Amino acid sequence: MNLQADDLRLDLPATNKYLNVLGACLDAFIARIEGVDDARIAAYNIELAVNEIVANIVRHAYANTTDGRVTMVVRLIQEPRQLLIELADTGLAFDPTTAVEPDLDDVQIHGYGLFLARSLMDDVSYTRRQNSNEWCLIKYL
Amino acid sequence: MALTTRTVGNVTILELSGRFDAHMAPAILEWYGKLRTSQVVVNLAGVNFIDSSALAALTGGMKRCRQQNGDLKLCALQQPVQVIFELTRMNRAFEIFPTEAEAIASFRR
Repeated sequence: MNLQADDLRLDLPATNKYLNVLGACLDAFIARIEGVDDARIAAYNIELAVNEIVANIVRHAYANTTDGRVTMVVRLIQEPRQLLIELADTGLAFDPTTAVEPDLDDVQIHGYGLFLARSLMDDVSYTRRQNSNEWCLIKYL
Repeated sequence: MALTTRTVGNVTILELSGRFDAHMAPAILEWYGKLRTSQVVVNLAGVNFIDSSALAALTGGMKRCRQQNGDLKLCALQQPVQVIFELTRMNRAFEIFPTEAEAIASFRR
């Protein structure tokens, strides 16, 4: 993604240790947006969606390495107002056929991450580029 | 995240605070390893964030306790953290109480 003047860009080690940094960053960014309905809940839900995608990157894309990195770009777009969040990594490709929707009538322990991100955001898309994975999350505000 | 353990009668209370995410979930799994009872209340009053890894840790604990004829019950969830239970329908799987006292009392039924 080509950066624009007001974009926020974060580059951090792909480890669960820094999930809280992503959360704090998103909270702070959203706090500066005026007129967001129920901003606390909106920020929480966006943070949870991003957390789930990054945790999946750590667990799956970087399953074979501990020195991967994740970048996050956050952009506010107007008309219609939306928050666009792009997450990128250089780990293993994501295979959409392996992402089975959870059976909500069963009590399962794992497999909710992508489902949660899709439920909480208005759009979640994945693109595999040459050597990188790009996740684009959109939430209308 | 901070963990505090207390006992009330036969019920073990695990009080958590802070952010409960994939980084902190292993601490809960380690805590289960030391657990000697199967009646557990997890007090989430101080928890301001829960992700699916944390939910998995709670669900694993619930299954473990139920296999031993006990249960792991939750109490005092902050409003924002309830969303993950609602979307995954885990609010139907867990017994969830507004207060710790009610959760403890439910074991006496």
